[in-house]
Amino acid sequence: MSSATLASKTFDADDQAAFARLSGDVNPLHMDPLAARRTQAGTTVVHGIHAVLWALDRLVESGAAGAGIASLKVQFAKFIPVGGTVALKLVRRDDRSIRAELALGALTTTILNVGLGQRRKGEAGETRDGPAVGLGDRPAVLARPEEAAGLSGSLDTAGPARSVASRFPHAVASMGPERVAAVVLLSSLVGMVCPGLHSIFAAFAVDFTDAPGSGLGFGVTGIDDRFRMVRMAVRGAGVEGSVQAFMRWPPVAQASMSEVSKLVAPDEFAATTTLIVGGSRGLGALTAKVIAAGGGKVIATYARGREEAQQLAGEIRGHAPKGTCDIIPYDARRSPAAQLDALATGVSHLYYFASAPIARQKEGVFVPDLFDEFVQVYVKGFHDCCRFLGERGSLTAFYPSSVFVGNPPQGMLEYAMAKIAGELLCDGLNRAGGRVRVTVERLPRLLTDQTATVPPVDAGDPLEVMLPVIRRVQSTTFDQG
Amino acid sequence: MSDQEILDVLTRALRDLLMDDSIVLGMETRREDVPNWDSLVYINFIVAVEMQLGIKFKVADVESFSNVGEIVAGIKAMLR
Repeated sequence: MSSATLASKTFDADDQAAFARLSGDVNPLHMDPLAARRTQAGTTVVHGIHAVLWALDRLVESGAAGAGIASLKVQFAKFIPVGGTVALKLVRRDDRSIRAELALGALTTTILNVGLGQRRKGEAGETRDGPAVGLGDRPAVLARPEEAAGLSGSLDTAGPARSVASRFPHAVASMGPERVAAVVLLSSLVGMVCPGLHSIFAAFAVDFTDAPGSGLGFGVTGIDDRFRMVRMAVRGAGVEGSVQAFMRWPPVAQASMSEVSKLVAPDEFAATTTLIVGGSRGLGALTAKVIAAGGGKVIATYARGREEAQQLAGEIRGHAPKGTCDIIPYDARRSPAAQLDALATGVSHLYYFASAPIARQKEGVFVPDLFDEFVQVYVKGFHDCCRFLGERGSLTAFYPSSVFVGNPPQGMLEYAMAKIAGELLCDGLNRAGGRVRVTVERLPRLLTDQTATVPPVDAGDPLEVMLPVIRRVQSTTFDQG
Repeated sequence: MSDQEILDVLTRALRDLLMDDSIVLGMETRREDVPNWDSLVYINFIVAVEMQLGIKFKVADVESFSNVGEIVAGIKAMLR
């Protein structure tokens, strides 16, 4: 479909803060880079409603929506990362409606259908007789869809209605402050109330009505456990319609030291010193616990998750008096020399869990820049680390490949290609007969932050899969190959 | 229902979700052939079709469909 670009905007951190103040939606997905890293988005993302209202403001300003806005239907297709620049594209306009899209480069993030004409009368009052719901400093935490069943309440539009004109003046002039405020509060409804913390706003469709009121009522009308989906009806403040959201999985907690220690003998990995690149969370953190529980000395690296690495070290040291875990920062894309030179002891084993977010939003079959990024981490980074450590002594390394290389899921071609290149590198290192011996394992899909996606997919238990792998790697002496 | 009748239901559902009346689904159509038919929209699409036809897929089935023809076959099997 051809389309004309009406406007573009870069949503920065100041925009995020301003919309959070206006809406009360302070969900960490939008505001906290460290927490957002552990979500499906992998980074902080723009409030979808913010982008929609910006688009609506531009459509009114341009005259495209001059006939008056009677309804709004939106499908959120992809995240807009903070710092990203979106273009508003007018795809189609006739007397009855406007179809517009927000695009991030070639990627459509949001689809809007704006109904034009007179507002309908609408029913007075709110959709349910639920309690008034205040928005606190933290989102509600619903872990399972059934916890949303029967939820209802009302959000007060009076506060945002007083402030919306400064941010969306054209939309307010066309629709009135209460209706724009009600749309603003859809963000808070999903991000702070239901499903709250672990939410993804999927879609909404509302009619704008002439029914008065300053409360936006909501009530859950359906849940779907299979897909972790919640549907809600909304009514009040001149708005009437439906909202659809998904519940993300909470960040995945790997097995604790207590659980790991039950399966590992206290001296099983004694006399080994293991560097775990990417050890602050996920499979890296689990591997650190297993080796430490077996009496091995562990050095876990982190790229951004210093706090998580500290928690890991604390858990290991706290559980077993002899448990040893040091943490160091490490960037797999930089030379290891300066980063690892200070290691006091010789490293006998290396586990390389350095990773980049693997499930990316992209357009097209193959994105060269994305492939380059993965090669930097999964091939060059591993090579450089092995070469540096191999120059200091014999090294047994583990390279985690993936079953995805045999059958890449949709959109993960570049990741699979880079992992295949990594496997070939490992084969080359082993054939070279130097001081580095590498074990490669194509791991199944395991439950980690990176695989805990909506829609849900089957994923194996990481400890069950990794324990035999770790035993094999740790027991491999250099000469055995 | 015939294949074509089911195909019409699927086409209407996707057109409604993506707000695009130019979408035409065929038995060989794959998700990547339709702009913006990504994973969350796919779930919405499946749920919309289920509600219209009064059926309910298993998650594993939903994951396994590689093209529209397989969805049509899955629906026919459930309606039998």
